[in-house]
Amino acid sequence: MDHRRSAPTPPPGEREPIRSPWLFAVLLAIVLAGTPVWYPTGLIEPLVFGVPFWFAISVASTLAFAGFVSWICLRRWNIAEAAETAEAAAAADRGDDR
Amino acid sequence: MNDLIFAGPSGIAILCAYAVVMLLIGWYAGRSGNTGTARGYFTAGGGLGMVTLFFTLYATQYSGNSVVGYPPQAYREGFLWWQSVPFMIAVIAVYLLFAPRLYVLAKQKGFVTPTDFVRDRFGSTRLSLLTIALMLWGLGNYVLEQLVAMGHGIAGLTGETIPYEIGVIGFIVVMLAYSWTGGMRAIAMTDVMQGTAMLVGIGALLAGAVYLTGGLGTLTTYLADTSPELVGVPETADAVNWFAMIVMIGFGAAVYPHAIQRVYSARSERTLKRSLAFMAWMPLVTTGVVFVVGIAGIQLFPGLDTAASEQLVGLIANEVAATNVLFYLLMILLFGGIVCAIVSTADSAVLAFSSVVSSDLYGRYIAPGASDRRKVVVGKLVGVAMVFGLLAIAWNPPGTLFSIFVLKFELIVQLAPVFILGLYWKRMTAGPTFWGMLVGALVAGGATLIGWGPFYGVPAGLVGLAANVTIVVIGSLLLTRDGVRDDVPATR
Repeated sequence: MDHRRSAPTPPPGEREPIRSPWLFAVLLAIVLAGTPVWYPTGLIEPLVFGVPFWFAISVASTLAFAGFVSWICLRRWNIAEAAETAEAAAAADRGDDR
Repeated sequence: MNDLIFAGPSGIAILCAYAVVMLLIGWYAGRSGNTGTARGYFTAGGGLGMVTLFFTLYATQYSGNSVVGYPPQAYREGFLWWQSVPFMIAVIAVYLLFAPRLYVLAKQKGFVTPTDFVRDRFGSTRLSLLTIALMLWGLGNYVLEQLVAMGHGIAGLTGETIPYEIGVIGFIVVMLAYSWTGGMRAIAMTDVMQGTAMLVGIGALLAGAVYLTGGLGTLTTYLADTSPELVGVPETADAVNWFAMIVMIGFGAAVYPHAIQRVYSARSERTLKRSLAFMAWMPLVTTGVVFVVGIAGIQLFPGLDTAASEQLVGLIANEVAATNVLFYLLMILLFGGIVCAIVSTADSAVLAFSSVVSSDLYGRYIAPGASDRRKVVVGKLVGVAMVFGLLAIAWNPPGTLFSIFVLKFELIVQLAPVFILGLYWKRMTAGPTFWGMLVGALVAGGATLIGWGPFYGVPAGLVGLAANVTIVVIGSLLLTRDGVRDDVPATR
């Protein structure tokens, strides 16, 4: 008996974030870009929008982090929604208001 | 928070008003929901809609510590404390690793507690018991932190008009009353009110800080001249710690039992993912705003030592409230918001604790034949006993608020592999998972207790997690050399 089967193919239209590793690679890159490990200790200049350059980069990275996580939630996650919507519609047709 | 001018009778009035609203919401939730079954009481029957779910995620994730403890941290660490914004976003990013699949499984199998998944997936008693032990320890610590913060908040912000003991006991009674009548549904509904009060309070705190500093435009220049170490690029170990905290808090907070129970409580996948999509932005208007307040505090109250800086929010509130009636009212709202932030986190952790004891310990090992209704009653009684037990410890709070916060994450993060790897990796087996979790907890807890670490910026919790994952992966690979085990329940 061969146990070394590959992961089952998800049904058409189903989207689960963990099955797209590139999403998490991008998230990691965004977080690393905002981590102040890339600059000499103590550096303040140049100022960008009144704050140190390194801090401006960290704030921009944080905005990108929030935006990308939010986008994944809304666009790259779809497992049960279609079935649940159909079930809710069927329940409404039956007059089931639970 | 010494000699506060403002609170007094107004503080008591806002506390009483908020307490009455919470009790009314709890009474309504208890009447309108099914709280007689374990799933109905502990997870609202999986029926929370988008607004309620969002606010319960928000009010639970951001505790009193986020409002009272983080500004002093920003005051002491400067721009380095911006890490508190990405590390709260990371919690939502880590949810994305497991919540989509766990939600589907929970609906299919009617999970009530996080241990239900562990038992369903691994079928191992000792692994379930170790999971329960870590969860109870983490939850106990979490509630303790809230009780300590409640003392700081109520006694400090009312200038001792309400003594610490009376304030804490009063709000505990209110919290237990609405939790008792309505369970998760009441907690989530009160979270809507509490989360709103918290957001208003944080907005009031920012408005006060901006008013006192006369604007934030010249703040960086001031800090660069007076305290360049607070705005310059941090030392490498601190920068490494920045990244390490994002990883540890991201993984630790996402697998907290009350966090997982909110995944179970969602009415639909649509409500869950939309709530989390909003939650990804909330750190910017919560820990981000609080960070700005802490930085403004450096200019407003220079030279405070660690203990004095812990009172920073009270110092700002005191100064702001004394200026005019509008700011006085805003600071009263801040005061109410802080108390709501504390109560909304404590109630969720108490409920999760109750559910784990009643369903996982009592219902499974002590009285396996117990009815659902009996388990719910036992859960309620356990919640009451737990809170009053922890109160005894809270009278003498250990260390600063943040040190308590880090300590609990050191252990709770050891639960991450069992949920995240366990959902997807079929070769993962119970034995190595148990030993990995145990060794990870011993390394993390032991190192913290004897004062080892952080190791070049990496906290002991992550060192323990690395050991944990290594044991799980190597052990599972060795035990299943022939391939995927057939006796492991499928998760898809």
